Amino acid sequence: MDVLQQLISGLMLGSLYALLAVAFTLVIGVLNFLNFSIPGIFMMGGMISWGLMSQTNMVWWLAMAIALAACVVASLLVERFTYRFMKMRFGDATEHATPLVSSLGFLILFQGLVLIKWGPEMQYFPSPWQDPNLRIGELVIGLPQLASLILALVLVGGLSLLLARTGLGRAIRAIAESPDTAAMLGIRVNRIVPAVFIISGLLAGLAGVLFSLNYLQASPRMGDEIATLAISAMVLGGLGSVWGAVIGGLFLGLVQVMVIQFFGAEFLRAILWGLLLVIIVVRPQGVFGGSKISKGKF
Amino acid sequence: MTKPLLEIQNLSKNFSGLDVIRDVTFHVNEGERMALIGPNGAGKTTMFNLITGVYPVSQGSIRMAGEDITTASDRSRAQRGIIRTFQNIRLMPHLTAAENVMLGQTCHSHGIWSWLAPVGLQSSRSRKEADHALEVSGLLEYRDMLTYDLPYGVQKRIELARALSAKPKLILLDEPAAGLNPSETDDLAQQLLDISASGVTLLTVEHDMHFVRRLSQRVIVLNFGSLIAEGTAAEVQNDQHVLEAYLGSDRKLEEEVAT
Repeated sequence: MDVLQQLISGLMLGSLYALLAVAFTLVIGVLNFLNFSIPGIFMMGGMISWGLMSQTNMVWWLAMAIALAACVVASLLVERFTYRFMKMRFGDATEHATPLVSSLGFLILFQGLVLIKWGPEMQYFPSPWQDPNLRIGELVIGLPQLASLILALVLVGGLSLLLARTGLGRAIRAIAESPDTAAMLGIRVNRIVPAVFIISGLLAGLAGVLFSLNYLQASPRMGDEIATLAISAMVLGGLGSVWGAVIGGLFLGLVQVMVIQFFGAEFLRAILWGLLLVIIVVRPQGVFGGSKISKGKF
Repeated sequence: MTKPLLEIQNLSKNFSGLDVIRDVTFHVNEGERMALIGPNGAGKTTMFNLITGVYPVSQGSIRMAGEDITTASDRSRAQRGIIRTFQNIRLMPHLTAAENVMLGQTCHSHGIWSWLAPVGLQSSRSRKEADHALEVSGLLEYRDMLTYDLPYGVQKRIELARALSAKPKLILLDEPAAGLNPSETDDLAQQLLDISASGVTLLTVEHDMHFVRRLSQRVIVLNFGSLIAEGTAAEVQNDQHVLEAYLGSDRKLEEEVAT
């Protein structure tokens, strides 16, 4: 029973990594651009919904909706001043490291703004539920955790349907293969790329909100560690592979919980990163990735 | 029927001081089959890139069906019916043949519904159109295959099917016969004649002079970015400027020109 309980906790933790990993992998897959501002957007999801709830007594669902809207706006700002800026200036943004560095600048900017507004302390995140736990026999399932897992699977399922079956998805995949040819075929690259950032920002913000709900805390630095895990999950699954990112995320969540259960928390980092190192050495393209990065995405 | 469809007026393009296209003026009439030839580096592909809006022009103007499109976007040119194929095939390698063909229709889609419509479904209009386009090109068997490992000749035909699915008025063909064997070349010429008979205007860049003679009613010749001759295939092949431009620069064509 104990193992089953851990298994459930691991999957639920992993679903947060998965959401964030998908946010990363989508932008990488389409634009070949590692968007470092994503941990900042994740953090804003948590901090802004906390700020609205605790400082203006706003009802939780409205606070979270506004926080998500802010995350989308932030993501669009990043698109405008990193990817699109380079595209307009140099005709091509994917061959330069500049958008990557500028997106790192946005991460610092987002964190800085939140620090100025609310200070560096970790904040208590009020739970919208009286008893946030669901009990089935001896199993305890946190409602926020369950929500994360279900939302992650539903959203990613929807996303892969969107990519595979809709005109937008086909246009996104065409841009991923060749933005120039896509533009010449009449695909509105300048509208589709922001759509990718909207989806990515929404996923990152939602992961932030769910993280805060799970751990009942929010802080300006909450994105830092989880982002390294999300990037690892993405690499594990294979860059640009949406389901790879989900499975990588769930796997890391499981490993993390199991290591703590059987070896103790002090071994967590050594075992987790050691395992990742081994996997990357054995299979550098990731478990679901093609043999070559930037080919055969999604 | 002799209304000009595409009008190129005093067009110039330079890349950081190097003149690639110099003051070129020509037009393509509606329904015409025209060829653009010239030695390697003459500026033929650059001309296509200017017409489709890949590069901004340095000077001069481009008009399509009487409207100025010199500064129009890629998409608006595609919507006006200017569609091209590429010298190095530019299919999306990890999309299926049907998806590639459906991409050709994108320039005519509008609004949020066209984005979210389930185009992958067998019953959708877009899918039916693509199936039809593949069927008439004899490509139905490749419909659900990813295009990257299909044979070269098949990829070329899929690219042409994609161009047709955009309902073009003018197709720019960049070396359509390159890399094809004689029987494939023959099939292609016949298919292009059929396309032309359906009212589509063709502008072709091609090195194979047999193919040019068979396909084209009128030929223009570029050399070092300038227009040096215009006329029927037979006329330009005997033109003194053209002979000088080709001699020693391209053996295959030199032989072709001599015959």
